Amino acid sequence: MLNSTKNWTAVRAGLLIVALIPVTMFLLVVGNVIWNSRMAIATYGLGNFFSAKISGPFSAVYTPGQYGLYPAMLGTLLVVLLALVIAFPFSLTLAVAATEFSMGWLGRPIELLLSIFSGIPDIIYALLSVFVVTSFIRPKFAGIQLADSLIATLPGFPKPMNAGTLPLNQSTLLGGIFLALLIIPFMAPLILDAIRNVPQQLKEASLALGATRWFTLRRVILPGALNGVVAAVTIGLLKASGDVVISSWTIGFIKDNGLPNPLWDIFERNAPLTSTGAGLVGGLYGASPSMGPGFSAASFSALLLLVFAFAIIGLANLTRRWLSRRYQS
Amino acid sequence: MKKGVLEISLRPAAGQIKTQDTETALQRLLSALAPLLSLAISVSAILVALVEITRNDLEAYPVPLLAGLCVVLELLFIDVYRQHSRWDFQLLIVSALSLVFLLVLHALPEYVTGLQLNAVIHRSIFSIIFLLAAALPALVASIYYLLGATPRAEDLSRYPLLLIPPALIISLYFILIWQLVLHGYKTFDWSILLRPYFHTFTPEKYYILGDWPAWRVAEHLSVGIQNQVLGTGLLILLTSAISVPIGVGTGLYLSEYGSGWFGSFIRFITGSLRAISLLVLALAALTLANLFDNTPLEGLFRGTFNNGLNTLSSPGGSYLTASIILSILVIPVIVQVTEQGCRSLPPDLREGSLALGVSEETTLRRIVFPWALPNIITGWLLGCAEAAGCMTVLLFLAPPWHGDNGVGIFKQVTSLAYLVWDIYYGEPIFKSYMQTYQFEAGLLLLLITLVLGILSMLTKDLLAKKFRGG
Repeated sequence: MLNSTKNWTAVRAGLLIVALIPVTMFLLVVGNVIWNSRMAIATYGLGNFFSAKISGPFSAVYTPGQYGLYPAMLGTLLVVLLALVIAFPFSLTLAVAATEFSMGWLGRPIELLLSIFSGIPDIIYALLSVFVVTSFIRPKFAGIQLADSLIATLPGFPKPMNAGTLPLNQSTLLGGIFLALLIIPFMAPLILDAIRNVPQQLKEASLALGATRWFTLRRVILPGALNGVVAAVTIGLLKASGDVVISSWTIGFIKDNGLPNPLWDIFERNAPLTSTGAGLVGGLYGASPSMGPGFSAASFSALLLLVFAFAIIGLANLTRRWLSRRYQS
Repeated sequence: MKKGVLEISLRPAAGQIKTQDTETALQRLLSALAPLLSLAISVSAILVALVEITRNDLEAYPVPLLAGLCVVLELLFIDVYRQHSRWDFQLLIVSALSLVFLLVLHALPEYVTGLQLNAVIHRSIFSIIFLLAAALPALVASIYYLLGATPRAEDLSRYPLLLIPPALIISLYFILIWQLVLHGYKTFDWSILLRPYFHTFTPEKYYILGDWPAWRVAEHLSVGIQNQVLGTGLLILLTSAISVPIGVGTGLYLSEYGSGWFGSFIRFITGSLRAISLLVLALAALTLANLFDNTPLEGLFRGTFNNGLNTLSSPGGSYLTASIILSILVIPVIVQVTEQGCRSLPPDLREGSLALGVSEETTLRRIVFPWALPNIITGWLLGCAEAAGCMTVLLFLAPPWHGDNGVGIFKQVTSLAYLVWDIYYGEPIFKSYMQTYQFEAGLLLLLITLVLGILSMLTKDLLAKKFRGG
């Protein structure tokens, strides 16, 4: 640390100027989103955003100027929670298997594999989703053996017209599965580090008092590693809510028929904010992206995502502070 | 470890036989068989559940397996009371649960609908959930009692709970990657790597394309992905040229002078650059491309065509625009690793250098920077992988016929990642000719990112040895 010397050298000034570039970039990027969403807010108002149905460039009835983001917000919540519910047990068991329970030889390979998997781009996961569709989603959830007419006559099936729109290649469930695959390699190492950083004396004291390893894991190690668990959940939420490619490919772009009927219907194409924004800007099927009201609405959905992300970060910081205070006292 | 397990498991059983002379042959058989039977049934139930994830035709097995679990767990319950004289009610609960599951599963039709859900759910989904919910506790309990109900047995019995989910998820990754390799290998074609995509259609000619014979189409069209591969390389180069100086400078500033509030402010901002949604970056890229419209700078950020025919003029963005926005993703990685590397410098080295009268700048240049260099190179390689794989920034930038353009800093942008996307969501005619090569493009992209990632892991150790001495 050289900051004890207060003198301003040329090197220090130069480094400071360089260090201000990322800050400027951040401010410009965030400012861009806020500046562009002003038109959407001014034209439609916040209330209309939450109630109006979306009519994007690709819906059947295209009436520009109605962008209700309420279904998209629900979609983000659904798919992120689903991804987290799928990813968390796997991350936790990966971390525990790599550190505790006397499996020293398992730790290094698991860490290497996780760091390799964390480099896989999201577009690859999106491309791979077709294999899960053909081997899991279609036989299990779409009644592939049933002809459409037979689906229509099934007892208790409410909407016979819906038979053609069963989840075949796009649904929140599929998106949740692949977002979980995306975030597991980022969540598990954080929990793993936290488990490693639990003081060795605590573990040894617990074992010396006659507790089993399982008891030590549940009552000593995992409470001690709660900090890492909070960090892992945070990064999982941020990555899952921010990803555009997987949610566009596996869920679809725009939910244009209002909210799903049971609100938790994970078999529908309930597009989250990210892919709704991507769809509103356009640039698909050979078209060129538009800078009109769709762009403004997309900026507003990006702004909502930013607010969500910083709320999550703030909440995580508060939780971490509360945990450390409780852990010390 | 295995020897210890055997001893633990044998000891109580031997003691039992000696002390209880009155037990009948049937009881002895029961006490020998109950844990083994429940182990066998629960293991086979778990196997059936795992196989059922991709198959619908194993519907004959779950009901008998659940019935077997129900009976065997009650036998184990009685046996546990005889051997350890304690009522293990958890066994009874799991047994009752499997009875309930069995009845529910028996009553379900093959396809379940209802609640207005947008799906027709096959019965095997329920049988997977029920089998796992009943068989995992049964497996744990049977291993516990098989090994003699000691504290050590409790630890050992939890291994399946901790090992089955990691094994499942890692094998899922491997199966998916293997499928990609398989499909990419099947359609692999070297020649398209050496040929750029090029067409001489005018928009009117697209409509009659379907009527043309194949040789006529071939005259006007060459299918290839050379520009996408080269474009990925150019994106990597440009992004690292922008982000490495900025990232290293910021990291050095943070480690040397960044202990005050301003340092933690910059640290928070650079951390937040990773946390913001990729949609924000995609929108920023579109804004940057649009910013200089109708000014002399338009060509730099919009990108130019090199078609020569000027058949289509679609708006897009240049490689420069894309890599400026991509560097926002890469800078935080490099900042973080640089700061880590500088902080791991032993204070003796720095103090020694300063004590010998070397100036701050020279210490920074000759002591701190070489020490951090292995970390910087690792972070740089990770950033390259990120730049190659990130599609979202190109989402609104790449033009519809992106294979047509040449590769250059001010040409319109494209990359392998965008090609994979565009074959799915792109222009229909482009899609119809390139669809065969979707998995080849995906495989190439995966190879590039994996090689960069593995290189970063290898270089870290090798370079640390070279620059830090041992």
